[in-house]
Amino acid sequence: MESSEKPALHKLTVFRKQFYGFLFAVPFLVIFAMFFIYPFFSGIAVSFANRKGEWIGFQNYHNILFNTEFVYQADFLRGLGNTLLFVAISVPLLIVIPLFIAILLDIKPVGYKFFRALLFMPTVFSISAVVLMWKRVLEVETGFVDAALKAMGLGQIDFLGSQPWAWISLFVVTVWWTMGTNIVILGAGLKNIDKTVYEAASIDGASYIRTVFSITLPLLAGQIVVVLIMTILASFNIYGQPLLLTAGGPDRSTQVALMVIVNNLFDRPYIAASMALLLGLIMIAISLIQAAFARRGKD
Amino acid sequence: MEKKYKAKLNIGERRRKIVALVLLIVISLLCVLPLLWAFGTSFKKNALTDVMSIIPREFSFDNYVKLFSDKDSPVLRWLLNSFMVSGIHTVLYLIVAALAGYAFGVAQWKGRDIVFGLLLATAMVPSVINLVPLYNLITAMNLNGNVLALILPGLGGVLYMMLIRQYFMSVPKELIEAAQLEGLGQFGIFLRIIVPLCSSAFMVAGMMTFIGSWNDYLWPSIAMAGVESQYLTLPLGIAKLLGDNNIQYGMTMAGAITSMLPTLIVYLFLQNKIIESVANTGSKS
Repeated sequence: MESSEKPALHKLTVFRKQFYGFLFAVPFLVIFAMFFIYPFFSGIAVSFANRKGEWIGFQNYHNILFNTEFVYQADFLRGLGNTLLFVAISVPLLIVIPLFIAILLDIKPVGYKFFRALLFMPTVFSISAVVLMWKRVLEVETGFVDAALKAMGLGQIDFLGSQPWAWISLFVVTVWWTMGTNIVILGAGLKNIDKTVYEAASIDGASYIRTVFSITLPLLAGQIVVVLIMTILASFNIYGQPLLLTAGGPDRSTQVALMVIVNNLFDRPYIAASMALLLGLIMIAISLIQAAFARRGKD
Repeated sequence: MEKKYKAKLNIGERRRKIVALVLLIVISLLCVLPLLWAFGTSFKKNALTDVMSIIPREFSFDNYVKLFSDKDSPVLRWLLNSFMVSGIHTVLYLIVAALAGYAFGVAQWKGRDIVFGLLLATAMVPSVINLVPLYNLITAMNLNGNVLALILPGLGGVLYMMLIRQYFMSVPKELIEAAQLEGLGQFGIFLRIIVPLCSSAFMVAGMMTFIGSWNDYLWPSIAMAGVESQYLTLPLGIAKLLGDNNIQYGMTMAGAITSMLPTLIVYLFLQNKIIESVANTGSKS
């Protein structure tokens, strides 16, 4: 379609002034060069330099990865481990729960649009408002859940200050806050599935749940992969929830990689830059793997 | 025969709809419960002795009055700052992105597709990589604590520029041709033909940019590190309330509700557009 229209545009005298068309892109390109391309390369340069800006090769990378005498090595590895733990658990939750809800919505019961709007709503709130609310909900002594447990005659749980509850709290808050996006994207995928397939299966006597597993999910596989990659990448950026809800505690057990990077950013930017690049490289690798799979899927 | 199958189908479908409805009601209640509790708590006269209830035992506006009058929490200033930053950011971005969308989607120039391809490829670079150098850059430009540091970097965002471009490309070429025959130049075509026809592109890109900018936390917390409280954006200020370990229980809930309201209002008015655009991001990537 595109190729058949281009020649027609070329014929217009207006578009012969090629340079003039480029001018429209200039403001964007200038800002993009300044605030994306330049930082990108200067960040790489910084990560290979020391405090004075002298080139030291891979020394920073060596220090944060392998040098056990280096003060920030343990910090970074712990942070990376915590981020990976978060990704490993939050991603399945953020696929399975939204998928379940999206399937329920796709059955289209009364008011399903209302429910969808309601469940998507938390995604438009800022992380600090979300955490402020949840902190009050989960706090010991004065929290809502604490009072509810007390009313039921159950013991007290320190949701934010003890493990595994601190992680569980972070997963609950994360799922609550972000699942709406995946519900909507997966719902769009479900909508595209031809409903006559279900009718055929149902006439064959297949139960609905079996239909979901044997027909819906395979047909939705492409969409699920897209959501999976988006969710993995978003989960690697985990920062606000542990920073504000648990402050990385108890005992730094929820201190994630991005928190370690930000902790080093002001005083040791060269260390922070190399940590950020390592984290970024993992994310780029995931994107590339996905791109490779997507290409193979098209062939 | 067929009728019987249809009937069986309908019974199954009806039962399915009821089960789905019940499950959705339960899930939704669970999700809304903390919000309702926070909302109720923000109106409690004494939130510490009246923890469990969702509807306050004693109703009062005290928490909001205190929140808005307390010098340590200049919420009104934060609100204003956030509106200013997000508003200016959104308007400037729409202008810059619309011009670029025209350049990459409608105008013809040498190297256009190569440049656009390169822009596309950068989408793979995670923003965390640029965090440190971006901080170094604004420090070198002496923009620490300056609103420009919050606004400028976002103006180079590729995502919604591409969305706007997509809409621009759907404008019928005959219209452009006709306008050209009537003597409109490139800028005239852009301003009088393309832009008015793509108002919904601006609406979608505008509201997503606004919500994103309004809720942004990581970058503002770095760019505005160390500034006086009154210059903070709302999410930064709210985070500060959180860190104060404030015993003013109800007041902090009033703060949470206050900071949720603006995006909630945008959402309530534009929910269909927002949900639609999120649904589309999935199919495009």
